[in-house]
Amino acid sequence: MDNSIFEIIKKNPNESHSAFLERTSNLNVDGMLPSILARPRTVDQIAEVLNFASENCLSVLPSGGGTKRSLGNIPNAVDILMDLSCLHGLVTHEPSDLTATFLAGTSLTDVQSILSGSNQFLPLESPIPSRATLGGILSVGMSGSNYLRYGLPRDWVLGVKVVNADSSIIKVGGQVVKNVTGYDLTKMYVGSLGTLGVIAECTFKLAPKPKERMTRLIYGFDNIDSAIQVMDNILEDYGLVRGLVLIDQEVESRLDIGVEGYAILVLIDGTKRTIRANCESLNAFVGHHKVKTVGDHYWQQMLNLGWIENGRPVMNILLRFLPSQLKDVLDMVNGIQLQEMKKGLIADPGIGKIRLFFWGELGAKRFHKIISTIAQISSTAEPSYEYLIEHCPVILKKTVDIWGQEPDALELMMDIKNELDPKKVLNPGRFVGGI
Amino acid sequence: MNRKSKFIRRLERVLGEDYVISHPDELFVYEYDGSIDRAFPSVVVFPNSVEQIVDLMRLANQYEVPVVTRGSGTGLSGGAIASSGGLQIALTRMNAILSIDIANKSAIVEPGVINLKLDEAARKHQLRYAPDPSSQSACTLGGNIAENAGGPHCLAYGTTTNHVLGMEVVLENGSKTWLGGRLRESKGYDLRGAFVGSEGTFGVATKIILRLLQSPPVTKTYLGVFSCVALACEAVSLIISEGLIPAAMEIVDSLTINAIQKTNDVGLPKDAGSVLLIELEGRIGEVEEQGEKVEELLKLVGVLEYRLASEKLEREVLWKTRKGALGALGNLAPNYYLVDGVVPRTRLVEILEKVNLIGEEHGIKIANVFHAGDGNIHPCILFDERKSGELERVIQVGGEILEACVALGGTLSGEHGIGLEKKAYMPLVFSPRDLELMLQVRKVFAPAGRLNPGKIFPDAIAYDYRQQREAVRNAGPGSYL
Repeated sequence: MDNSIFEIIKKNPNESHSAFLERTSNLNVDGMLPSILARPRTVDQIAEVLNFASENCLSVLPSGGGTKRSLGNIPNAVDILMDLSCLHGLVTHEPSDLTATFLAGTSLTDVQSILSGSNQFLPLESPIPSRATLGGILSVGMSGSNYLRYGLPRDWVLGVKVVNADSSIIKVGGQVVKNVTGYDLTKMYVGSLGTLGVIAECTFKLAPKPKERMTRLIYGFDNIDSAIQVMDNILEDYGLVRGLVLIDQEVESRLDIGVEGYAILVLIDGTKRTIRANCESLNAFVGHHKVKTVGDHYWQQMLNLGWIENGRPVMNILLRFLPSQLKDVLDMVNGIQLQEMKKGLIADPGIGKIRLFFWGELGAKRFHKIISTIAQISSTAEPSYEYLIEHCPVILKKTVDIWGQEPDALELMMDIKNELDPKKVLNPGRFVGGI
Repeated sequence: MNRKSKFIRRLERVLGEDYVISHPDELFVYEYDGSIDRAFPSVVVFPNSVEQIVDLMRLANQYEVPVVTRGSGTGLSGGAIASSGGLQIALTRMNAILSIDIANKSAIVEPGVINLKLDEAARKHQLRYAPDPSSQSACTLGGNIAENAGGPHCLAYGTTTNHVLGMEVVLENGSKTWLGGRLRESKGYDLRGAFVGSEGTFGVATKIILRLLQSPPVTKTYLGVFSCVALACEAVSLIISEGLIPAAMEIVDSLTINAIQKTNDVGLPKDAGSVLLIELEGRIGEVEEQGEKVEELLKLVGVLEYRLASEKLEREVLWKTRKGALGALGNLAPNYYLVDGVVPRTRLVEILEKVNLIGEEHGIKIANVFHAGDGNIHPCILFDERKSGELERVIQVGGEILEACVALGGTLSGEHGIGLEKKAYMPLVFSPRDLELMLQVRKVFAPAGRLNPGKIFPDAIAYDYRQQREAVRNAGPGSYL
């Protein structure tokens, strides 16, 4: 074992138990402490770690900034935590090509600051961007709040270098913006939660940075129907907004927004001229409701909610549905009555998702009541509805599948896992269907 | 007389005799697609339901017959060529647009629907289907999925894969499953992403859910004339680096301009070195602002003249000219071979010089009309098939162009696929282990490797199916049917 890469996690002779727990708290995965911490600094060292794990039948949990570590079912085993945050930095950036390649451990904040010199940016979003790494963001693969303009993370990845479970290093995709050379396996790695391979390097398509941005808050709704009507009108107007969410009273107070009832936040961007024109169009849709400009920082705060330690909810649930189902899903969600608990929501009608937050004491009985109500929506609505529990207490997590209903092609997915990681080295048990 | 085998009789029992053809005279049409390769399938079938496709796949499985799926046969890399013979499933009868969901901006279609038909249907609701390959009036959406088809407007909207939400697919063993669905995001591995562009080697998409986009309120199309191709390329680079992403940026070179003018006078200056077509789409005001910037940049690069197609009709003429450019090349030579390669946008000038040089070395004329905004080049090698040795020379030239693309940091195909045409070049881009990974994934979808065998992977890599094909060849054509 190479000591420069591997570190055995154990209590030092003179260390108190509480000091040991404190020191290792950031290595904890669903209440389990890994036996070994691996810190590869090169792509070859990732291969070395995987080789070691495979030979010794140990599991490996790849980790970036650890910001979304609570996502996934309880792992079958936590032998080696592979911290990839040492593998960071820019590989190449061609401003005129609007493409760039980074090592996977680079934080999103670092990426954006490197690119901003050329007035470009990578349209990925994540909670806690100063810690969240590209590899981690791609492994989770979820949309941010900019779907309307920028789509999904999968749309921005041109290629990745991956270390397979068998420690072979492969590349999929390429460096150019248009490419149909061979199978598009890049897509398969994005959103695979580190269960198929360790992403070591990623190449992206970039976007020009909008000159200006402005966040408008629309509020003063008497009921949810009038808020939905305003949102529908805004969304029907081609390219008017880059992001739009609906938030409720609880979220407003957590973010210190200082208004009452439902509110809509919209993001407008472009040149000064465009923003002025778009604001005028927006005002026309607001009607007798109120509108004002607020700070841009709310967008990041909304992403952070549910993931940062400070004021963290006891549980987050993500609901996905068809945009046209928004009203039905909201009604059902509002039907969840909880004494002594607080519930908040952020809804994104453009893509069709609601992130639900719960604060307070969450016992087993209440937990299962919430989950069964959420699951009911899927049986009453239609097949195009799904939910997943992004974060909840470990003791409750043991009693459910956080991924909700199994996807239709689960059998194929399991075959893919068996083919690429037959020894189940990578993140075993965390993904859908126990993958 | 064509003695019908048991396999064919069983196919006829599934589809009815009218929808199974196996006589050599009838098969003639199915020997071709848009590429230069040719091969006869043993039998062609025309199913009209997913149940029939399930039955066909089961039968093919039972008789161990290779399966090649076919849309309209417009593909340019030989994807629909039955190079190992066997069963060809033509999906042209499955051409229904099943539904258009206006509220959720999506459509459910059968695989045989023509690309343009969906776009036209969507436009009735102020929606559009964005991917627009030049063959869009003929090519099918199922074929688009197999090849991950592109088109000029991919610059702003992405290729087919960015527009597929879900697919019902039938696999090699006849099993049926959904990859993705109606939602924008779904959990589990993104197998729909892996399936799109798998060139018919993973399965048959039998139902497809596609994303539709809102139609932009304003479209402006500019035509800029330059003294040479290099300056037009420079304009493209400048526009992108100024932070503008037009909906499309297309370049046509002088050889092609002349061919177009000979076919149909659309008023392109005959002495122009190149023409750059720029399309801007967006909101009122926004497009005007971008237009001013584009005009400024065009002048900065030294455009000889530019004009703005303000009317819809004028714009349509420009696009018809661009999309019909290949047809016009028929004026210059009896045959052309269209190469599809990609380089980083900033290397466009270099690659075009290289293409020119390669043409000169071999004494062959090459016309260029391409998606400049994406760095996706399309050299058209002009030749006369009747001259002996010319086809071989053309293939040699094509190979040299692809090698040059890869050397400049590019790749083998931007939108046409690998198919038969480019499989030999795959090792230029991928290591043996990279290719093996692709085969591992194919093995999950199609363990026997019997779906569209002989495509994508270089012959040096042993296919599971290859030995069997040799055996078939030794036994004589059609002997296993």
